[in-house]
Amino acid sequence: MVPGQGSSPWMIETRDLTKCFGEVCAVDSLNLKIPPGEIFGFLGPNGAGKTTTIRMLVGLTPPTSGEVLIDGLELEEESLAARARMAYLPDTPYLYEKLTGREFIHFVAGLYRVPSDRAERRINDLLPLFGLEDRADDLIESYSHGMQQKTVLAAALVHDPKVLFLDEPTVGLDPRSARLLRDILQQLSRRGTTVFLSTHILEIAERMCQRIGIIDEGRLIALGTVDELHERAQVSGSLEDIFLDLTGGPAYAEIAEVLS
Amino acid sequence: MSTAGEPAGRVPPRAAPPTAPSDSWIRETLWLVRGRWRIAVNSVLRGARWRAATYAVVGVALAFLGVMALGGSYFLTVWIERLTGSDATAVDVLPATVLSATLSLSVLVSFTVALAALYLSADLDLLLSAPVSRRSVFASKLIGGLLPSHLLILTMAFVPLIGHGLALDYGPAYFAAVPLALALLPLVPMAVGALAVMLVVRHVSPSRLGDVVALIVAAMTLSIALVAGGARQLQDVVSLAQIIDVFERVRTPYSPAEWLTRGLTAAGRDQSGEAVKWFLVAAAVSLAILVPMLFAAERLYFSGWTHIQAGGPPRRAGSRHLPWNNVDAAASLSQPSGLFSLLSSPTVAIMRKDFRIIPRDLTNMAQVLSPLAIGVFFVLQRLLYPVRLRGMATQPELIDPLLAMLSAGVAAAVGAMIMSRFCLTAFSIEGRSYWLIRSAPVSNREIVTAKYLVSMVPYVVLGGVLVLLLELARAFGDARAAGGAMPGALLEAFDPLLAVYAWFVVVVVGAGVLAINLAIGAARPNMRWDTPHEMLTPDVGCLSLVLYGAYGFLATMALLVPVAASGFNVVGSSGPMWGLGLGLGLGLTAAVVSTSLVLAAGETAAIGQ
Repeated sequence: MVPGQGSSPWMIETRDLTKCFGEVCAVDSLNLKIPPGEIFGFLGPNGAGKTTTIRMLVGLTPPTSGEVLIDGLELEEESLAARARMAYLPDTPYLYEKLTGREFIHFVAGLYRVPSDRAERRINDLLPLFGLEDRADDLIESYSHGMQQKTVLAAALVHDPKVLFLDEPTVGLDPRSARLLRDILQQLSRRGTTVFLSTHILEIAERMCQRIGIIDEGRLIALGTVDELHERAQVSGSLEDIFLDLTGGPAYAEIAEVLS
Repeated sequence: MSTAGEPAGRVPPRAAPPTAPSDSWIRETLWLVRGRWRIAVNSVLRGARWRAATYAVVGVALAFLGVMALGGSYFLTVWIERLTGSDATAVDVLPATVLSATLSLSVLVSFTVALAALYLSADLDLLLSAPVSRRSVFASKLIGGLLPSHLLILTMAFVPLIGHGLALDYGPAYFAAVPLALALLPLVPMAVGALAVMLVVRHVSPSRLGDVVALIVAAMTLSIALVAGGARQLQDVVSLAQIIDVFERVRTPYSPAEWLTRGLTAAGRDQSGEAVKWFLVAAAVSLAILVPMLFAAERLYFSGWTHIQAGGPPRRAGSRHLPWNNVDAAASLSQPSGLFSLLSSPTVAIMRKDFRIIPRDLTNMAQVLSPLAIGVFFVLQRLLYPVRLRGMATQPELIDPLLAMLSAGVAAAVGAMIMSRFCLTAFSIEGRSYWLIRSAPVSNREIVTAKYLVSMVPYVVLGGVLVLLLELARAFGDARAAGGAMPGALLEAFDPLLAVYAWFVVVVVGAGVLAINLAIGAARPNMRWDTPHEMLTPDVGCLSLVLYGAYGFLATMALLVPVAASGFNVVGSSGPMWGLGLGLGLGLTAAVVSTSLVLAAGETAAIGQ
């Protein structure tokens, strides 16, 4: 493989990726290989290391050790080229409240060096797609949480990324917007975009993701399709049952029982 | 919550239905105030060490200022006493002025602090939805907001009053009465401030509340800057006796400050009956105003809160459509054009983004009004009081270049004060939105270039305008002194070459100053602010002032010396001096700019991790 040519069979690859904060390792020797066009679900209980992993994958948090490769490009060595291929939606998308929605998307297009005519076309397509055209010239500070989510998603797509990282993307979205998001992600996947999705809503993961990784206490404890996870956990039922079985679910079940 | 010995995850049996947490709103209030106090203590003791160190440095600085104020008031009182032959009315001007100023400051501070505490704090949803009485929420917010700011204000008043008492050799009754007077003084302003807030929130859009605070703070700083600047001029034209006379005339018999002044001075002169009388008047009137006003404010508090909720949360606009924003204007954020096409697309996008978001938040602009006021003051001063050598109608050749350099110094200082603030907060202004730039394919160099130019471009323009105005003012003074017909005489007196060189000096010095500030801002950003004034911490401001002050002085001197030495004559024997001055000034600036920008780029990588 020639570095920097993007010729890897894997769109996302991590090699012994580790992040420690003092003596606590939030992510411990994570190895992942995700091919182009896959929607990969990344699950785990609170504090398992999901957000830290995503932040390392997009270059926001430097790993303590290990490597991240995006489309065959080593993230640390070829940071700009690797980042140009990806887009990121954090769990809480803090935006520039004093920009309008349209300005914000144009700003992101500028950051990703999208030629102006192409940016214009993309924005004209994206605003109506997300139902933002009527409020596009209002300041973002007047948007609801859901509208902000849609704005940041529209901005993430303006440069047509090869990899999309989404951290809890459905938080704050109404059912209609959540459905729209799901349809868009599936369409992107069919066009070859890799989607790396962290979510707490297991139903979404089960319906959308081709493969699922479960992380607990910084370690990847399960990886595969839903069927493969069923086999491995030897639990029948939904993904929720598998998840609870693998991550210490009985305690939660007991709580639910007492509360009911 | 599990108890010892209970298995993890086991939920305890349902407890008895909750009762009211307290039967007394006073106890609830004290409990809430203790909570605020705990948060404040934790933020100092458990916060970053640099923050604790900053508080220590600020404490030492305040102690130093306190000693200076004590000495100042002591000697001023002695001086007034000697000057007026122990005239009691004249001597009492000092405590009267201190108490009146404190009262005025208290009114302004009470309004802004009460507005922020009662309606703009982040935990109001939690508190007002909890089973705690609204009265205790109101009272705790008011106390938590007003107490710290008033402690500072009253301490500032306490020290000169003590110095005044020591100078006049007053007895212990005076020193016991000072804290009592200061405790009574802010009662009326607090009540008026709280009630004014309640009325304002009914008539001002919630989205503009933050801007209201910003404008009031701006107006305060502007007035202080102009009064402080004008005081020197006043000193030149009137005597101290005249100033005392003016202060005596503005003493009004209907102000709590005046009643407390009379009580204090009576206590100092051992007239206990008179002292008790005035303190009783002040206390009775203050309480008579305070109690109903506070009750009225409390009644209006919750309806004000619901009004804000109906109009959206504080600092969030309703649907604010910007008339100047259209598709083409927005598109410029992704389209480098003109001179900007020399820069990379991300650099231009970041610059244009900053040029839009900074003026749209009035709080940002409010913080630069004070230096801008100083700039306006200097221009007016040069226009009204042109610097001239006594008894000389025309100025020697050397004076004009020196005055041009003075213009350059003033323009550079004002421009640096204004734009340094934007450089120091260049990264902090990104706040929690920095993830967007950090995760995009943008190099550190591109980010630093954008941030540098965001301050440098307006600085160059502002510096040019100030130099032009100051030089025109100087030329106007010369023309008036020469007595020629005005447009012609003005044009004759104005030297464009001098103005261009002054602007050059301003630009060179500013390049270094802004680079230093950008490096400091990159090294110590505060990305987790809620209101723009939190972006800049006092220690960063002090460090910046020391570093850029030292550089600015050296660079200006280097560029000024050859001008002074040659009388602005480039040709001839002064050539080596020019070479030396320009070489030193430009060399120093090049070294400072390159080092600072490299350091800033290095620090940029670590921001937001």
